[in-house]
Amino acid sequence: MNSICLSLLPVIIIDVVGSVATVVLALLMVREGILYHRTDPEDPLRVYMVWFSLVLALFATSRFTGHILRYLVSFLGHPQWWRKIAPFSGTINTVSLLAIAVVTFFFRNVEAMVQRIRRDGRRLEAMSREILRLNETLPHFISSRIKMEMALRLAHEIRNPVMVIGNMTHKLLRECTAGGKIKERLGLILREAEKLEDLVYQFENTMDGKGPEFEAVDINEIGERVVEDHREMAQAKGIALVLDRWASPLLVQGNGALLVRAAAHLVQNALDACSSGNSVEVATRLTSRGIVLAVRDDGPGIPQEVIDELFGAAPHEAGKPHLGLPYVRRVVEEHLGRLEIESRPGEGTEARIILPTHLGELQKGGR
Amino acid sequence: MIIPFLILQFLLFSPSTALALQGHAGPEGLYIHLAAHIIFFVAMVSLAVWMRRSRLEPRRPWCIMACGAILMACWNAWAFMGHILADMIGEGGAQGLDPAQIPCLSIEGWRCLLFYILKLDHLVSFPAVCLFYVGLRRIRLHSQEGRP
Repeated sequence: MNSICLSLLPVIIIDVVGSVATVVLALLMVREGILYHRTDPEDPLRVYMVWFSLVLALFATSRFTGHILRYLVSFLGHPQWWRKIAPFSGTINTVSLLAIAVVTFFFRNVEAMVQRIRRDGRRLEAMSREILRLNETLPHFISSRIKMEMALRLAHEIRNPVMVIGNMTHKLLRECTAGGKIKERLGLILREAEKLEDLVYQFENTMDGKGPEFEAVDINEIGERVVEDHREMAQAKGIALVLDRWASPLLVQGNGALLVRAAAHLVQNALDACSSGNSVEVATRLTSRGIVLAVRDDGPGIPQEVIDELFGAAPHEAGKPHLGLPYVRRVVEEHLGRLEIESRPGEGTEARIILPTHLGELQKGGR
Repeated sequence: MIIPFLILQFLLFSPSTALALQGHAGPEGLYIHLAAHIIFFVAMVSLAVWMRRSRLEPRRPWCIMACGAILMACWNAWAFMGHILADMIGEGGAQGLDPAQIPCLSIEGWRCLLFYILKLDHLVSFPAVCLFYVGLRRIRLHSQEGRP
């Protein structure tokens, strides 16, 4: 069979030019990687890209060395040198291939890490905004509540002596045998005492549940709203989110917006703790302890020792920050209520917001 | 108690050659290099898939880098075949590089022709590195947008 001889000149030219161009480009890539890294040196993706560009440069350099040196020693008339160099060049080339592969396999982990950092960052930003809003709202709320408590206490203090005066005057009127001016004056005192009592009663009615920060809030509506707000998120995670609503309105005196945020935190925490197939129930009910909004889940539960830490700013075992819980407690306590968390590992968690039925109870319960 | 003692005695008093060091023959280098190409190929295909599926922004530069990874995977397959053919046709397939004359490759069948084509592997590896560079540059420029 006749054979033809093809010139290797095109191969050599492409080899030399390609090797040089690849090295130049790889070094430029290292430069880009370093510049990219400098924009945020702590970002794992940027660190990864520096490593990726470095191993690519190692690969390009090893190829350059292998190809160019081979031609160089041949053209210098010492092709036998190549036999000594080739094993080292080949080894470096093989190591560069493995190095680039090893770095590449980390891309997925780095990407997952980056997404997690960004997601947590967005969540922390949202939390910070919410905390800021709470910090702006809470002082007004506390001030209003203190004023209202003082006014109601004052009304209470006035009503008692007025009632005593009224009763005594009424008794004196019945026992009084004298007529004329004394009876007339006693009647006047009685009418004025009744007027004052009526005034105190009207004042109490006006203060109870009136004001820019205070209103009559139906806990059922809060439950409905938080369930509605989180329904989409629960569906996306495959979690059943249900509302067990008390049949009649459950009115408390408080700040609706703050109570909604507090309840939303509890639902959000329950959804975070649960996974697909779990369920979260928001229940409202009237008990002897007060009006209750409970968020119950059948997730993994929280060990007792972790429950105490939940109210601090420290992250819990899953690493998710619970910056909201101290604020939930603060909001509940500012409504003179209680926040309770009960959990059994493996069975689930129940968080309860317990609020007094009316402001009169606030004074009895104290803070 | 006697059985373990007998086993121990058998092991102690019937020694054979201890092969503490594994020998490495010449062809092992080629096999390791070919294995490295396979690992590199898998890594590049995985990288391309992960980059395409990733939610990293902006999308376009990452897609460019994914294309670079696909080309690099192709280069691996290309180089792998080149090494196999080089081993099959032997060193004699290519003439020595004499500075006095233009070297040539004696084409004796399709294998030699294919080997000649496969030697032009820079035509694949260079565009791959180009795409990586362009992708990274665009990612970097995007990250600097809006910065003082």
